[in-house]
Amino acid sequence: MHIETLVRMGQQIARNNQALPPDEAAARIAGHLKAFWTPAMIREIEAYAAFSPDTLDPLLLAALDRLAAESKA
Amino acid sequence: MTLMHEHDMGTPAVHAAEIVTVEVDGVAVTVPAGTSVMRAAAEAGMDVPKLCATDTLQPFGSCRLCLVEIDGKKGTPASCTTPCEPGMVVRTQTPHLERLRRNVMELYISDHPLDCLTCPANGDCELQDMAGVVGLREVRYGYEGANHLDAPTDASNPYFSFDESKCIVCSRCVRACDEIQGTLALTIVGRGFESKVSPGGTSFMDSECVSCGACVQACPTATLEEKSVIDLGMPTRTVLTTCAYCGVGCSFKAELRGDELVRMVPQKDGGANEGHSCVKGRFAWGYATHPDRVTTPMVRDSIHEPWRETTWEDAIAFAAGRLREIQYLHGTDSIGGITSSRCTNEEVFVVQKMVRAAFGNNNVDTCARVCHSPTGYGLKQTFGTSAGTQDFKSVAEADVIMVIGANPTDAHPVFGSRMKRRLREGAHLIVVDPRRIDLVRSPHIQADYHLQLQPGTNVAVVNAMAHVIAEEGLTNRAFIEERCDADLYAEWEAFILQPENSPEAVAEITGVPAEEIRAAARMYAAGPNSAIYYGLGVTEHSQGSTMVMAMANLAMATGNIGRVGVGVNPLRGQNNVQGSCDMGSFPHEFSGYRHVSDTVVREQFEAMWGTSLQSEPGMRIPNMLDAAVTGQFHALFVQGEDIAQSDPNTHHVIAALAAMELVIVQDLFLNETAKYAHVFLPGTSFLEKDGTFTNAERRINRVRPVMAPKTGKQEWEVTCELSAALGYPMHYDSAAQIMDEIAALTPTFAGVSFALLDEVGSVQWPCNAEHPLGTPIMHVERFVRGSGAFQVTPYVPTEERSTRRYPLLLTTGRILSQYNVGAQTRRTPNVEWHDEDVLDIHEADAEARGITDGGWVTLASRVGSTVMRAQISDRVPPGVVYTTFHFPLSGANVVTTEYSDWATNCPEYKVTAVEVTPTLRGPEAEQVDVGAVVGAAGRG
Repeated sequence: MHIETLVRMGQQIARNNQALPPDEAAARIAGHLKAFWTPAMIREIEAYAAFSPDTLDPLLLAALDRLAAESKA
Repeated sequence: MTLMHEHDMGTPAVHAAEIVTVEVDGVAVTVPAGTSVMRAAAEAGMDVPKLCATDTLQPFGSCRLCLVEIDGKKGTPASCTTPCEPGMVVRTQTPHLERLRRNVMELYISDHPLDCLTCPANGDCELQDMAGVVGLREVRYGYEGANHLDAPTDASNPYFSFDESKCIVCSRCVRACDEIQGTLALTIVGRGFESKVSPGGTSFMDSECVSCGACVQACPTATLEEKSVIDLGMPTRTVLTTCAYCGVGCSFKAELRGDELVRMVPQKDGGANEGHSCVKGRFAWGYATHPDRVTTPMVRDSIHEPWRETTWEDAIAFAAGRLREIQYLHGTDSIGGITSSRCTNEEVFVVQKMVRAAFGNNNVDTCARVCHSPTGYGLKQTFGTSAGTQDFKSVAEADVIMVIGANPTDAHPVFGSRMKRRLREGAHLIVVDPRRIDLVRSPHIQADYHLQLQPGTNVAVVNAMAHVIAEEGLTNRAFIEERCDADLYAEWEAFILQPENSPEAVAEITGVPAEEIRAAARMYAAGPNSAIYYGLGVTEHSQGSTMVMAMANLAMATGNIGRVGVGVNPLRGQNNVQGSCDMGSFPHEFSGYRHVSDTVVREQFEAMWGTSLQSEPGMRIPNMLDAAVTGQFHALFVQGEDIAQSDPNTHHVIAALAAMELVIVQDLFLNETAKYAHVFLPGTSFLEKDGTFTNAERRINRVRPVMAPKTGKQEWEVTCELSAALGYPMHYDSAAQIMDEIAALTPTFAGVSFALLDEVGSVQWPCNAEHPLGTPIMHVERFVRGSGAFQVTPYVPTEERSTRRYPLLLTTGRILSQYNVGAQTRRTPNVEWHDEDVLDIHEADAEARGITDGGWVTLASRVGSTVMRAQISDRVPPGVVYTTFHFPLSGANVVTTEYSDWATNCPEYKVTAVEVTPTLRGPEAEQVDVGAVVGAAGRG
């Protein structure tokens, strides 16, 4: 998929969870990505985040960190 | 079955706790207090002769045929207007009554054409029947006096005619229009002998009539008669089935002569419609036999080549061979499928099964993606299941009705009529919509509040209402404490009380004065029964899911959930949106909304299906299209959906389709999507299908074949053959067997079978051991998820903003006579009402641009442009324009964008920044250039 599309989707999910406490928001975003995104889509945005983390919402980055930690566990 | 006649009890049933016993012709009968003598007699087996009475209308007492004698009462009262009293002794047949009735009938017949043998209603005429019942043998007055026999016939309506010479002025048509439909288009003009039915002093076609057919249904003579009956003759047999248009799911009697459908008559016992209909379901079924139907399979190697007709075997082998070749070259996940909300549960179930088991991936999605996917998400998060909470009847008990982003009188007309009836009875109405829909002000209806918000600000408005309710102590604390999660409520309460959620804070962005929001909130909270009804104006936004949760919050906070008269009710767009979602069409869920990662559930499917299944979600429709453009997705099976017309950003959709190596379309017609297809598998119309639809109230209704499939196969058979050709055989002897498998795998459908539906008519899921006859109202004692889950719902403005270049906001919707992309209704006489999409624009915006009413305009957004006619309208406020998407020529979705709901990717159809400019050219010049798009995509 276009990385611009994935980034837009990820950022939008983050913005819609911004009213929650940061930890809860990150957990919800991670849960959402895992429930609704294909593994390939998650891999693509993880790769983008590793390359260009400054452009992503911190809540999205925190969620991606959670997913990475889960997959290593 | 032979022609089905539903017994007419004369007057409506009365629901009362008190009962009375009366004696009718020596038979004791016990009825609820308030029941008419006529109905009591009918229940005792004594039908009293009648003409102006029918059990779908309130008694009127005008025809004087239903006279009876009652001990202790003077004269011969009309049985239809006389309520039963305890101990009443009634006689319906005496020599005196017989003489009176013959005299009355004599007068009617003296001014009625004596053409029974050539009359189209011969055999289906209550006047004829009653003349026989009363024993009329002569007309002493002759036929030479003043009469109406030369009165004209109004044939202006394409579906029925009004032959005034046959009218007995019983007012049934007028009352049907008033009481059932609620349009009040008909009246009686003149007095005495000059009295006659009139559609407001003009022709039916030019009147306010909405062609629902209620008047035709009510007419006891041939005065209002279907033209199909006039042309073809009286039907001789009935098949009970379900309409294939909107999510109301009306039950119909398909009436035929042999295999020829003569008319569709709404079924009085239909759970969803109770005998009512709309112009689409009642009349617009001719598309099923339209010459445009394709009934032979077709294939082609390239979309630049002409179609080649072939056999089913060849088409399926061609499709299967190319699907496997593509998977060999590009991987298992490089193909997918889309199920259709126009197809039966059984047809949908086998397509998603084919994708999961034969394709070997979870790349299956459904057209609900682009309409009500946020409903599924939002209601599951808050209540625990992805469905509306009420049955349609519930609205009759609502005290406050809040309609948000829905236009029931146009898009769900039969339910709209139910709602209007309740509003005429005095229920309060709050409309939340950028447009002034008909409900805001129509005959005998006036919204208490019309919150005319800016498109895209739904969440801000509903949050503000919730803020008022929390701030002013209007919450239902007992309900919250008993039924809802306390921690989540506390989190939500803290959020909603934040100053930025106050009506005053959001007034500027929403455009709704704070005091109006406060007043509406107080009204909703006061109830006592407050019900929310909503449509795509809620879901098709970047915050569609948030808005669904915000409405659920509002209902929980005020205790308006779990009983009759309240609830959160999605008005589903297509006939089987609910069902297609229930059947496991989403890429992350099996049937019954269970996630594919749930090992226990997945193993049940694997055991039943005999194959391993993926445990990760697959791609959604927009994901598949995007991946096609980037070369990661190569083949798509499309069941009964025209994504090239219905999905947003048409250029993007077409680029994706054109980039694919294989597109398989299963449909009735060569639609816009088929232009990019390589295999066309002809589908069946609803008149040929055997299966079930599930409507917006979770009602599972049988769809029975009225005629044999014109393609020679049921659609599910074709899917099974394709699956077998892919190496995964699926075999069913009947659609009933598919439902048996659904029931075995889906807890909410565990008790459903064709046998049960044939026995009881319909059931609403959950239907299982706990609820063997279904569940009309959900969450009665506890929420499906246990305790209700308040969700924090921050307002996040859409990224789609009006700009200097695109200063107006476009919102889209439907019109009564057309349906979705128009594939069906455009192929019926419904085009006589609406034969093109037009752009509603406010006078101020039009004047500023030099746009005239009826003139051509270019409608342009940042992704595309199209041309249509302008219609200057005060239904839209300045700054907002509106159009429909029924016609491919104008193709409204050329301008809608890629923006979508954050949680579900449901497209943001309802907010597009546009500019409108006058033009001299018609729309032809603006059509998508297929060759250019395909060339750019580099595929054939």
